[in-house]
Amino acid sequence: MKWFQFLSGCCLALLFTIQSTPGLAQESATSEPLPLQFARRDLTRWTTQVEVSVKTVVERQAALDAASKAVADAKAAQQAADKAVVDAAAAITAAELAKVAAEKALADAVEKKKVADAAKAAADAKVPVAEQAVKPATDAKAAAENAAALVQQQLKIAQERVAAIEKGPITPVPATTRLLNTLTHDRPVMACRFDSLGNSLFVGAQDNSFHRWDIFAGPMLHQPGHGSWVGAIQLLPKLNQAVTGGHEGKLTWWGDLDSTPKVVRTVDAHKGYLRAIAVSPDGTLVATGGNDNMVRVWSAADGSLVKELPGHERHVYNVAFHPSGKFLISGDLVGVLKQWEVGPWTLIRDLDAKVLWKFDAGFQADVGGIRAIDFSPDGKLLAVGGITEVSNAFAGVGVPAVVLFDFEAGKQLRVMKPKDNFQGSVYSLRFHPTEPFIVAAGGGNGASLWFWKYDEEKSFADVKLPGVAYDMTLHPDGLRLAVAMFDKTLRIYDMGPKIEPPPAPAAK
Amino acid sequence: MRCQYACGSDAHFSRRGFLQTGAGALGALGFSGMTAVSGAEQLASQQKQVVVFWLAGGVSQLETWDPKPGTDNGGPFLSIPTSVPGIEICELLPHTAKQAHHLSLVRGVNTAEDDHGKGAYIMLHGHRQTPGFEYPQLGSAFASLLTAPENPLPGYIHVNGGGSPSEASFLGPQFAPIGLAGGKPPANLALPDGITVDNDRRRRELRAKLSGRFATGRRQSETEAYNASYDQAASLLARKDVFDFSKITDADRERYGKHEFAQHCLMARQLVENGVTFTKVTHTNYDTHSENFNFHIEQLGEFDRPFAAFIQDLADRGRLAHTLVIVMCEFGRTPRINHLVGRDHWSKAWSIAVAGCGIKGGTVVGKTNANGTEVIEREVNGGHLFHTYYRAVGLDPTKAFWHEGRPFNKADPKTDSIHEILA
Repeated sequence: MKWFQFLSGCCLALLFTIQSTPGLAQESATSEPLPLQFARRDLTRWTTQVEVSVKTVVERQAALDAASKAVADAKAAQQAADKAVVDAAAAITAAELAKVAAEKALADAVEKKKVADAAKAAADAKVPVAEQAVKPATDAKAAAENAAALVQQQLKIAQERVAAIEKGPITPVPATTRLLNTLTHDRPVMACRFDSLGNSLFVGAQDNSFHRWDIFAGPMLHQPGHGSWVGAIQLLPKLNQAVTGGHEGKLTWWGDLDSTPKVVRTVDAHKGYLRAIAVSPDGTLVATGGNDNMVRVWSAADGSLVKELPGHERHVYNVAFHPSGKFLISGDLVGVLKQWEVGPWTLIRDLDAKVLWKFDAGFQADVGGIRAIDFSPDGKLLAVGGITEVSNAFAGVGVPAVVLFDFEAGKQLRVMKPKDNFQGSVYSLRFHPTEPFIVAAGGGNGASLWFWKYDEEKSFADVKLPGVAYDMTLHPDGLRLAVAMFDKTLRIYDMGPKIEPPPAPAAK
Repeated sequence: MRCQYACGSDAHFSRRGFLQTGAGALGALGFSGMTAVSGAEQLASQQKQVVVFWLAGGVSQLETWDPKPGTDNGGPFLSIPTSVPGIEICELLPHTAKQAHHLSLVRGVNTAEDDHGKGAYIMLHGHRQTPGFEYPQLGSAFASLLTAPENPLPGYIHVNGGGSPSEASFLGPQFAPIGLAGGKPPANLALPDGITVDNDRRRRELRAKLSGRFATGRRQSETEAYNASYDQAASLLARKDVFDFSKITDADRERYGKHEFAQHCLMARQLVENGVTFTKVTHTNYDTHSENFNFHIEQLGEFDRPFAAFIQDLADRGRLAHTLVIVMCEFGRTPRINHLVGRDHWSKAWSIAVAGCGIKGGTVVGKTNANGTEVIEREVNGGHLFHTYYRAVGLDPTKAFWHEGRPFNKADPKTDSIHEILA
């Protein structure tokens, strides 16, 4: 900077000198010696040149200053960039550290979420499980309450019945027959019998099993023992045993009836369905009928074959011993009844119940048969039941009917039908042990119990059932009956007189 | 009225193709290239015969081909082993069980039609009914496609059933069934008293001459049907021995059984042996809404032995290899047992059985669930079955019939044959 200040000072001094002697130039142009003129001219030129150089110097200085500034700026920028790089690197390092931390945090969080999800799933799963446990418990409680209510109800009915009977004997009133109790099963029920004390119902069903229902204590005990539906059942009271017949053709004896029934023996009784069983009045013989068109008689005590009775040309649907024990009756698909003499086992005669059979030419099939059979307690009457007036075999359209015979005369007395326009079949019938009426059960386009007096063709009482009844049994008290039903139930009905509640006390 | 039937159909090619080709008649068909059965295919298939056992009313699949013993829907019957290890059928068919190596059981049929008429239509036509249009029945279709031109016998005979010209639809009345109602031979096979064979020939020639003159320039469906009925009657008379069932031996009658259906099976055997293309034997009835099991004991008790004997005889005599046997009906029966111990109509999951020509015996295809309520494997419908029948006898079901310039599928083109059971 010193040389710049020096040049600037010289230029300023020359300029002051020239300006302080204004006449010198004019004089020199005219009269001054040439050297002077040259000197003056040199002075002017150099003055100009000084100005130029000074200007140049100034300009260079400015450029230098600018370059210096640029250098300074660049260096500053460099420094700033250096700092930025350092800062960025530091930021990267920090970010990487943060990233590692974040990733760990993420992994931790994911893991925690998994754990939480699993916990939630477990909790979610527990809820329905817990809820499932609640429903059975609720149902069980409701069932227990219902059972308790039913027991209370049955107790009340029993108390009323005791009170009524203590006042005097009572007899059935069929028209007021009403439901007492229902037991639900998981398959349709095919056959049922009360034991001699009326404590239990022994049952056959479409589950190939034998069942015992303690009607006071329930529930039903199930014992497998057949290869097909159990459609026939009878009791052997003297042996404390039961016999059942399956659609696979086997005849099975059951013991331990008071506890858990067990198979005593099984015999291959028939080829095809075993359809019916009868026990002789003295309890020593068991008769069966089946789809091999045969009637067979077995020893109740040891299951040995006593006699084979051929003669039927079609499936044997039913068998019954006469109350005297002297005769056995068998009935088949086409309404033929055969009377056999017990002992010699000779065929005494045929009875005609063909009104319970039809060959349907449209369907090319036989329909009907002896679906139910019973003797009156005195043995004078024989009743067989089934379907008559069939208009559509394969839809089961016909009229339920009971054919009543004077057994001694072998004469058909009448064909008994429901009083209303019912379509269906009788599947079971019983003579009442003390009162002069027949009760039958069956179904078709509905279901019903029908009651007939011996001398009337139309039923005098019909009681609707909620499902088709495949079998029926009378309680030993003569006041109750049970039906085995398609709707997977056993139902007990009360034929006893309705007990009127005591009159309300008179208002004071 | 114009001729309504199969002017361009396979049928006319089959029956008349050999006669008409020289006269250039086929050229007039216009779409012969699209419709005609190839000569080789036709020749190959002409040796094939078909017998349908129609179990009217709908036999229960659970009491026949697809038993489910021990289940809630199974009913009282057990299943029994057959001649094919691993295949069991209902115990009501012990004789048929011994022929299982000839049978193929199709257990996954779902025709989705529970009405008798509509279900039968699907099973006998391969299609659902189309309003205003009649597909030819299987019998008429096969009669038209499989019967050799020189065969004088009717192509389609229905034992124990009627015969309606409508079954042939556009194929023409010559392919309608001859019904042997009640299993009886056609009426009036014998010449009336006082008419000699020569008299009969001369009067038929006179009638043909007059008819020919009348029909000149008037070719109509009525005149053709009229003449065809005379031709068919003459053919029948010439081969009335085919319907003489009196020569069936007592031993055969004993072996088959003495009831009507057994006799009908023997008739079917005789018809097959004499070259009748399509024989349908109806056995009735299986519509067991009430007492399904009692009635199936009766009906299948009739069906089992003669059907098994029929299969055995065809096999022993070398005829089963070129005779397709089908056991079918309009639908199956409900797995659920109703309050009358019956089973109702059920088309969602049921079975048929086939045997013989083109069929791989000893096989089962399709599967239903544990208690038989639905198909769970290889579901098929009427279309699949028709494809299979056609393939089994060596015909291409994808070649349509043509009628009035329109194609009519022999089998539903959305379906295909059940290849697993085709030999």
